[in-house]
Amino acid sequence: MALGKIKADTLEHSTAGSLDTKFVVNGTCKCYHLGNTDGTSVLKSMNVASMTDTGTGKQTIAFTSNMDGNFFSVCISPQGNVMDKPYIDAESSSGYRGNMVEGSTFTDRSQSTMLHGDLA
Amino acid sequence: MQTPEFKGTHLFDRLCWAKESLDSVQSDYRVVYEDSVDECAKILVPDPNWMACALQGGILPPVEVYWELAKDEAKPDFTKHTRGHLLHNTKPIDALTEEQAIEYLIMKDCPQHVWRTYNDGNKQKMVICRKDQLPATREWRNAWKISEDLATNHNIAA
Repeated sequence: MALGKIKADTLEHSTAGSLDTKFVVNGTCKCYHLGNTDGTSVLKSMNVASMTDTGTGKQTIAFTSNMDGNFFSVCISPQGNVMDKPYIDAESSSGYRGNMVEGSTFTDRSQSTMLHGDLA
Repeated sequence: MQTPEFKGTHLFDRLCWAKESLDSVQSDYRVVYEDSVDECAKILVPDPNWMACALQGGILPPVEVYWELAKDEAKPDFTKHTRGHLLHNTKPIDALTEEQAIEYLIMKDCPQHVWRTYNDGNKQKMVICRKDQLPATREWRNAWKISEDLATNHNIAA
């Protein structure tokens, strides 16, 4: 990747209108991860320093570039499974935990998460 | 590949450069730790893209920067980081070996009360091991503890 810079506040399409580049900067996904079923490997990621297997069905993500606080939006999805209750908790500016629950039991599943929010 | 001069460049931009320019490195090391007697052992896995950054050098900030941000977040009136610039403006660290990178990651992502006293008391609270030393199946995962019979050729958790 070349390190040349294009500085622009607005992107303008010939017919579809223009877009302020702050929407691009602020709207970009700031972190994603795809962890394998047992949480022993990170298969795909961005802005992840480590993943910790904290128990059955639980994968804790630590950021490389912190968020500005603990308010951000994370989507979580089980890969290839229909789960009852996948959810996120333990949010902080340095990471979050993804949980997979089937019925009332934590269950190992491949997890995929994606985060939008503001970086520190 | 030469790392560009990144001091002052937003850390996220550096990660974008690294993801495009560096091959990810899947480490064989795992860190097993216990941070509560009431909970099972936890297993920390280094991220392959992060490991590539650590081995390359000139990208990641010193680990002390993360400690400073953690101190800020621990304050009761914390709402938002005001010293995020430390991540971007502090001189990046030089290239690490894989072993040094694991030590850095422990100091960054494991609770301080674990790694600062990992060998105190009557039982080790943290172990660095190879992936193949972890149990082969997930049976009784929520009851795993660090084995009291540690050896380099044995499973370290059971």
